[in-house]
Amino acid sequence: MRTIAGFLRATVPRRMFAAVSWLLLLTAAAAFAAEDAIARIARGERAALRALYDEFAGRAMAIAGRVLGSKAEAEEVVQETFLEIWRRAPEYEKERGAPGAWIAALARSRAIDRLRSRRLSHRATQEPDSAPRPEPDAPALSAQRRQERDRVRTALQTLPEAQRRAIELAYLQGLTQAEIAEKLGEPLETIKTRIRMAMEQLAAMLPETQ
Amino acid sequence: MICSEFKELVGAYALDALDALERAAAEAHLMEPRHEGCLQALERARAATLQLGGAVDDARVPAHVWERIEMGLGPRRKRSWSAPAGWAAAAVLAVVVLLLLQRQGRLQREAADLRLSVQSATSSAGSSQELARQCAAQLDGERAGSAAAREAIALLERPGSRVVQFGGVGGAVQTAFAVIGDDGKRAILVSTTLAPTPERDYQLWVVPGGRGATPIAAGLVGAPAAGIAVTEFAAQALSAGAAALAVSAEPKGGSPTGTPSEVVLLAKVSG
Repeated sequence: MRTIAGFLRATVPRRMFAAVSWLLLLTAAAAFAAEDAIARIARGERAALRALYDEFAGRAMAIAGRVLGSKAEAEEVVQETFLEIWRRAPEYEKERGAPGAWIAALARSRAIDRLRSRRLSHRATQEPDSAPRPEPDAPALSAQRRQERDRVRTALQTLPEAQRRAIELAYLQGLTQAEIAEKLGEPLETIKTRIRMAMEQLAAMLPETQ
Repeated sequence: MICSEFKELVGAYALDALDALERAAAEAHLMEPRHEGCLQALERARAATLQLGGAVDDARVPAHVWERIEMGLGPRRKRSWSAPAGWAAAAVLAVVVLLLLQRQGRLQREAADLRLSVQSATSSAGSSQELARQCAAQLDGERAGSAAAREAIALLERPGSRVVQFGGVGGAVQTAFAVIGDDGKRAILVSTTLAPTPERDYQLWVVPGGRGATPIAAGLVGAPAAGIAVTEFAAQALSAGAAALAVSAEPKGGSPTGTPSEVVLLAKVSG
């Protein structure tokens, strides 16, 4: 902490130093609170599940909605995700990722399973109802959440457009590399190279200790 | 799959963007005991993937979603540790936990055995003698009653034939052998754990050599006779040779897409 403070003092104008320090403290505090909530959920405290839900259900809903293109199905995924958290809270390891990232991964995994099951059973012909779209009255993000969002978006913006598109199709639409190649009319090897290079760059810009 | 090949697709693996067979091959590679940076590359890719969700703006969640979650949690229960019923429930829970731990230990041992089995299946032909012995032991009891078992034994007894053992993929608990003729043009699956159900079939696949080779459907696993399933891979699927054999779980009737949906068993066919 002293090293970080010294670095900040040397590089950040004095008036900004307090704001940046406060932001870092908020980030650490928010992560700690969420980890504490998960520990309490593991002990069977429903209030802790509600607290975690209030913090992260919006993110789970947004991701599930983007993957499934259906508000109704996204709601079901959010419901299933938090019931899964209730069951699997004892398995959470903070070394594997921050709570918000863990919850987003659970929601995305369930959404992709639904999407692929839908495709296998040829129910893709069903038109999805309205997907959750960015709303003018979308819930306001906390400072910590805004910082996280901006950091990840900045990393994505450093990618060439073609690589970013491939990552979005894989992450938000659950497409395999072969499906992306077919959708974009590109050779499979081209898509594989784009995803490999994009993920290598993202891994460098979004290190494990966040 | 070698480590350099795994590291090329590790990003797609972390994104869950591989097709079923590539994913199965990647998972089979991860089961191998030695790696050259694969696990570190996987951790970095997973860490980056975990954070991608942070880029999405939150969406509003209707109130009824939490109400449904509460219903799913069930009624709140008062804890009364002083009540005899509470102590009895705790005792039952302790027994269940003990049984689960024992089962976990057994599964871990089976998984370790399976890893060794996959490893041994890719080694030289000399070690296949033990696999052949195990396979023959499974078949021997059914020799009299099953024409398929007699075919498998006849193939096994031919000079130059060999046995490969399938490795489970993605935590699958099914096991199987394949008896392969000396020219590689015949292969027969032997399994005591694969059994079609009213909703599900198991489908055989041949994976030709070469990068990006498309798996070839090779038939459905037949219903077991007296607990053992013996099914020959379709000859035309093997006509171009095989780098690997796979078994996938499918809807009734087989894959609706022409590609494996969920690979449960994979065997590398050494040359």
